[in-house]
Amino acid sequence: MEDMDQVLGEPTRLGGPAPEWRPWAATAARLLLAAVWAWAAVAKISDPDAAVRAVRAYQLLPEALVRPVAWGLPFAELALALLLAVGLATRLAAAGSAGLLGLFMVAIAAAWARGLQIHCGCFGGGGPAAGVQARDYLGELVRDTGLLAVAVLLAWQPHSRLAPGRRLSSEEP
Amino acid sequence: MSTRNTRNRPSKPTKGRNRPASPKRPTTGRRRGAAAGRRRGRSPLQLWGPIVLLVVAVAAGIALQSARSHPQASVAVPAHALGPNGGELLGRPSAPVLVEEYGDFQCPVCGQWERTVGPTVRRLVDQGRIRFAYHPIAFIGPESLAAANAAEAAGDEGRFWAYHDLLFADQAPENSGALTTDRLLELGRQVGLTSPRFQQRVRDGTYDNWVRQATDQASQRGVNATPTVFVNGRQADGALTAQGLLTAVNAAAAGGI
Repeated sequence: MEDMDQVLGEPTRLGGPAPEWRPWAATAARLLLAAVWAWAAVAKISDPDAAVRAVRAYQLLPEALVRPVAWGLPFAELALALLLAVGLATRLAAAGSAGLLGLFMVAIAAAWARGLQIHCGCFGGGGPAAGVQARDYLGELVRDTGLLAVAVLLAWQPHSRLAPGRRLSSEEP
Repeated sequence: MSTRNTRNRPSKPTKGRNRPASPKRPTTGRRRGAAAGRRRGRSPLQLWGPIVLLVVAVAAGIALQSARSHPQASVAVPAHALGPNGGELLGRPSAPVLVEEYGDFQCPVCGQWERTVGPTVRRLVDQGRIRFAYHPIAFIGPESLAAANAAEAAGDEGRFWAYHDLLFADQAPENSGALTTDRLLELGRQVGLTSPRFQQRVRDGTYDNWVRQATDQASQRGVNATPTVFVNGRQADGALTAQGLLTAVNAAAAGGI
């Protein structure tokens, strides 16, 4: 009975005791995603006009939405970076990261499928794109797939070290 | 069996992770995550705080970047940028075909286009077969903007094309810092531009906003790369070689597109 209870009391859902490294892995995932978002955000914020051109080049949004998306998106990335770095609302931030990455992958795949030759503008820029090849699109998609996997795992197991969020919200009394 | 329990409890008493007889935890096998939410409930702040943060960040970002983006109000338009879509014009108004190039003075492929296709452009212009419009845009960096502004300032003195040719002949690696104000003034002197007005406009960035606006309009026209060539209003990717340009111009002249 005590054994049973002890197993169920562990934070994992897989039935076994949670290894000590898992919260640290979640912390590493948080910091990785935070760094990527912060880098992407700052690069896009630094040149608002280039951000507009990069979004427009995907030819997915009506002109009226191009500017709000180009200017608002990097700040959403920055907010995600902040939440992940501090460790607040980790599950929400990780799920938001996964959703955003999924959208980016759809946009990149759509550009590739339509034969557009554009730089993704993922980390700023996104203007000139002579000689963009399948390899470039594939590389971007592989990178985003890796980040998406990290984000999904973090949303699934958001408990991490060096985070106030757990103590505030979901730690046992 | 309970070694983990006894090992953990003394070292981390405050967390109480493995306390077997916690009165608040159901012992009926309910999962911990689901139980955690029910045990305490989430305060509205915890749930909505991050969402509000995201929304506020996005709204503030749009407002901030809108203010930082180039002011549309004060655009000094160069009097000589008379192409149908803006841009500097070369050739007779009666020429039947309009060839437009969107170029960035820092772009190496534009420099290459200038060397390989430029002579054909000039021949077609001289023959009265095409009008050529060059749109100086700034995709690559601040030096692109400075160079385009300087070229328009040169245009004010009637020396746009001489300055244009010199910029492409004198290209440095992209964003290398080579195109300083002093360098742009020096290039001006090489084509006889010594007037205080030219120098003032290079220093002031008189046409910066016009170049920014032209760059944005180029992007709205589907220009994602430099050089991009349009023949009679249609993007002509084949025109990146001399033979391709001739083919496109002949087709346009014959087809009347």
